[in-house]
Amino acid sequence: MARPYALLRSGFPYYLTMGQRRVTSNPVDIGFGEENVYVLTRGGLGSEVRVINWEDENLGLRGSGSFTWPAGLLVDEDENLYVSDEAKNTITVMSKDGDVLDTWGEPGSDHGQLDRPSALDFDAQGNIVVSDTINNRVQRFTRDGKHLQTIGGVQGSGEGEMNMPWGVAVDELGFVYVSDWRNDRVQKFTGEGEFVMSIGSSGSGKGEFNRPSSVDVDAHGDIYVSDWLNDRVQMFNADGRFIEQFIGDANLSKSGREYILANQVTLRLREMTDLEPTRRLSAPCRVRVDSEFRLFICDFGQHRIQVYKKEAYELSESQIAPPMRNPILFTT
Amino acid sequence: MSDNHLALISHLMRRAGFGAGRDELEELSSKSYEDVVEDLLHPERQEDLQEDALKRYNLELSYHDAVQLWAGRWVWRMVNSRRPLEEKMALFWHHVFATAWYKSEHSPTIIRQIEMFREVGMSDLRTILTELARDPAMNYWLDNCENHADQPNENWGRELLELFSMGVGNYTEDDIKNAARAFTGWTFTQPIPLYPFGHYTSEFHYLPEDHDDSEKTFLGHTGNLNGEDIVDIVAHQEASYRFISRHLYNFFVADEPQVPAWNIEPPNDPDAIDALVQAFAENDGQLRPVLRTLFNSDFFRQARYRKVKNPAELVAGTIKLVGTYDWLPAPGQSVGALSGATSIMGQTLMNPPTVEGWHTGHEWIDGGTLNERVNFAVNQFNDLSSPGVRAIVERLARDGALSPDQLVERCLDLVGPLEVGDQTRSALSSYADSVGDVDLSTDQARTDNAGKVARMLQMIVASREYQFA
Repeated sequence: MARPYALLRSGFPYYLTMGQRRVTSNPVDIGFGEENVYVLTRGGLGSEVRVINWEDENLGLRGSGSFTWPAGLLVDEDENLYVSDEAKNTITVMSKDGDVLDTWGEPGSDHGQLDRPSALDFDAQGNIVVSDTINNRVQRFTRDGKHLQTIGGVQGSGEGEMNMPWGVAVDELGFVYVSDWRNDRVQKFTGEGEFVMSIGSSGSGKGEFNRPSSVDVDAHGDIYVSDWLNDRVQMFNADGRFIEQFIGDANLSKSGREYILANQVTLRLREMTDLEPTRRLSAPCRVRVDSEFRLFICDFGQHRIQVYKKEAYELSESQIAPPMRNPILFTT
Repeated sequence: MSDNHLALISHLMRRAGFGAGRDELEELSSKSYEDVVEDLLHPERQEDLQEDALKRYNLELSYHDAVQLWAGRWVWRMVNSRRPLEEKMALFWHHVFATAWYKSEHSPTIIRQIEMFREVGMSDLRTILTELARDPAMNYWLDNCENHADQPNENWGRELLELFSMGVGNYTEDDIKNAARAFTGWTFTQPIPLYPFGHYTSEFHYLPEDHDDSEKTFLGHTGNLNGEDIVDIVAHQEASYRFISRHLYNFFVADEPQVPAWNIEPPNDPDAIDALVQAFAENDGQLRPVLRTLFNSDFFRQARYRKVKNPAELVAGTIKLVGTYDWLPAPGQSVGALSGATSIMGQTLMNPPTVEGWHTGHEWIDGGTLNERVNFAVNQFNDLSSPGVRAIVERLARDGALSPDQLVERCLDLVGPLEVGDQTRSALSSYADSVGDVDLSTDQARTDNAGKVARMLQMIVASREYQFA
């Protein structure tokens, strides 16, 4: 699908809240099957894959006890699950029922070796791109672990250099985006690994980051970045221009509502307090956007998934005035 | 630099901090003792710790819930901070104003209380007691949220006077009742419940409609007293200066009897307490001048190895020696292991047993905890590749080959310098004699013989003397 010439951005309303503490505890990534939603969790309440459905029902766990520091999750067309473990330096492949089909990856810094593999994404060919954090690079592998490509590999803050990258995404045109975590920026590369552009710098203002944890790109080319320690997600257009930010607008998930309705004390305490903080994001670890322009945010500190949905109208070149070189005050 | 100067700096860093490795000690020893004290008293001169990598690999530190992990993060700060007195004062106030997680199970407020101690711990008694009185964790711990105008609860008012400022014998029961009335209406905002989305914090909240506005008399002051007035009066009492001075002496200088005995047992060093009281009085209750007086005093300088290490000191000090918990956690490493270690030795940080806090000194040691203390310290030296062990081996290698006596002396020096008695020295020498000369002159020799050095280090940290700061 070709990208539109331009957009009428109508809005980005809140869409859905999924999960709750002790179900989707401390989510770090999310993936989707035909009917199931797979949430990768990490921490003292469980480091495993939680399966829920769109009705927010708990369908069980996959991979319990298998992971130390699970970081990234991918779900393929057969609903096989790929989980990176940045303590074990492995990628584990499981069936949707949790049977381990394959484990690959070995520690080291040579091409094809890994040192704390974190985020994962598929490219258009179905290969896997891995953020190889301590080696300051991303690598591309076949699904069974054959090394195909290395991008980066030099620690630093110059163009194409990286400092402990965390998130990675590949868009439909083949460009690779890296949330260059300790440099507080996102870098964009061609599929061949050539540097294209950089977005962001350190701080908490618009377009600034405090340790960005992930990045994703929608079919319009809009870029979403989870700005981890600023507790928000920022959105940029394909040129890297800041569009808006998401600080969280959660309502009660279905399972959360059912829990509260069964607990009289909880009901009373919520009547005694200010509920505004319940909407907000806390240390979001992962953003993913799907083909329906739904933006999924793994709200790590609040144990849930917040979902927004983009409203935009695609414009042809004839529908919009030509680009302007300068701003104008006469805006009609 | 003289060996004695370095040994004195080492003593200072064990007490005002959590110890120091040899590189740090040598760097500090290029300054005068008094200048090192000033640097400790002014933590803002040093950069604060970067915690981004710690949080990335202990992800639950990116929000306030997992209390054991946050306690471990505190030990990690004790190990790594370039502002060690800031952490030590937070630990000091945690000892004095003991507040436990187990009653509320509300992690954000317990975590926040320790942050508050870190922020104001070296300010003045009035500020510290005011922050304490406004602290939601303390408020709930001592039931002041149940202290209403028409139904006072005296728990907070009583402990403020008995355990947190003046000590038993310096006030009357009427003073307690009136202090409690002055704190009516001091409560906290209701936190949003834990389920379904996790903890949210709480803040101090004053309810004027629930405050007893009638006249009260407290320690000779009469009026419509509110909580701030009580704190102001308490923070300027000589009894408070004396009580906190004794706590400071017990924590930083030498072990005193347990707190409940203080109204019948005199201080071990009354002159030292008097000196600290005078510093409080001359400086309007400020902590920094008192700490300056304490650290620069002869009684402090002469108190080497006269205090049993509390578990946090033992764990943090040992980890500093081996260098295993730095800015980037090792794969799979959780700082929760650090708080787990202090817990098993009898000190669960953020969760003291009662409002009296921990009994200190020799009461840290019993058959079980001594075993845990020794095993923990010894186990840290199992890994010959740990940065601290490698650094010690490299330093020893400058001497080429070490005779048995040299091995004992040099290892004792690099672990402290640690002063040991004849019995311990004899045991160390016996081991050193059994291995003979230790050659560290080549890479191969270091590989072959590092284990002998590590074994000697393990015997040293297993010694009776290593239990003392």
